Amino acid sequence: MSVALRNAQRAVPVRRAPLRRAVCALRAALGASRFDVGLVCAGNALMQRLNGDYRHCPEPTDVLSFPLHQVAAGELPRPRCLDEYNLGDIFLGVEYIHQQCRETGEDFDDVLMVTVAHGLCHLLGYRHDTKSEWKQMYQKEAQILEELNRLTGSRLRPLTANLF
Amino acid sequence: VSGGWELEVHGTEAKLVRKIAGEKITVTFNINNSIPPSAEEDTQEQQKPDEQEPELTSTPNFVVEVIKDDTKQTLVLDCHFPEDEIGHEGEEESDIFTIREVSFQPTGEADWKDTNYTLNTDSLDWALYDHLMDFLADRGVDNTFADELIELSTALEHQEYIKFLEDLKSFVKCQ
Repeated sequence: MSVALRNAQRAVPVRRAPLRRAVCALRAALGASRFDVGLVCAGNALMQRLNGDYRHCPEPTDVLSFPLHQVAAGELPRPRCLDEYNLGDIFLGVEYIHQQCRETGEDFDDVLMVTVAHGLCHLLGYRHDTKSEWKQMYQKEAQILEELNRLTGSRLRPLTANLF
Repeated sequence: VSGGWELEVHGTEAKLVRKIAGEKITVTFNINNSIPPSAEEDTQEQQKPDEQEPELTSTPNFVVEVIKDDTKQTLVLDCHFPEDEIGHEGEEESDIFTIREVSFQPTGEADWKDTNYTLNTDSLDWALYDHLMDFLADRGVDNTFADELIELSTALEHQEYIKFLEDLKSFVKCQ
């Protein structure tokens, strides 16, 4: 199924084709290829608005995930109709990520991919509010990033590597 | 417009030209009918006596032509700005501009060849669509460019509008 990718910002150049390939590979590694997913590359203004509206935290951030289904971590949604073959939407704060990378010296494209992996895991119920949740999410991120690394030759590590 | 573009204006038609290694890129647009109807209606309905009129923005369709030095074919991409269907909040979650049609046309010929195949992106594989967008971005036609094109078009449209009003005034006064 499809990946609806939109670039709604003009702050940072983003290459769409590699981003789409990564989303498709990561989605496949999660066993969710038959589900649609939406990905919006967003600037700080949009991320701040969404973060304020939905998390009462009106400041830019790196990623926001809006799952269509409420599932337990590790489970796939059970759609009742064609319209439900959709994981939800990921808003990728590319401007925020770019600014972070300038400060930390990390590779922007690498961090984008890792953030996408993180966002996809959130769409499938993974969380990192507790240490045990984080561990479960970290393992899943590592697993799917390993699959992406195998395909692309990269050496990506989970976003939440240093969270706990 | 940043990025080394040269601007040529002939009446209501503007052309931006750029040369990069082995290629000539032109972006052509016409300011006629470039202000979306919903923007004009909003202005007339919502204006209060003490408020300044909101600015009208020109978002013309634009045609990108990529001419490679060693071919006789020009790749032509017809690009549009999305119309305000969803509302302002929905707009900021959309692509800034979209490619609607793609075609090859003979280089140097002014007339459009209807018999050349034109690809409509509505039914195009999304991965290929992304490659086309990246292709344009590599040649300087990206979201930043699109924003600057809107600014340029809006300024040109305003200039032509003022000139038209002045011409109209003179014409009406003639006996």
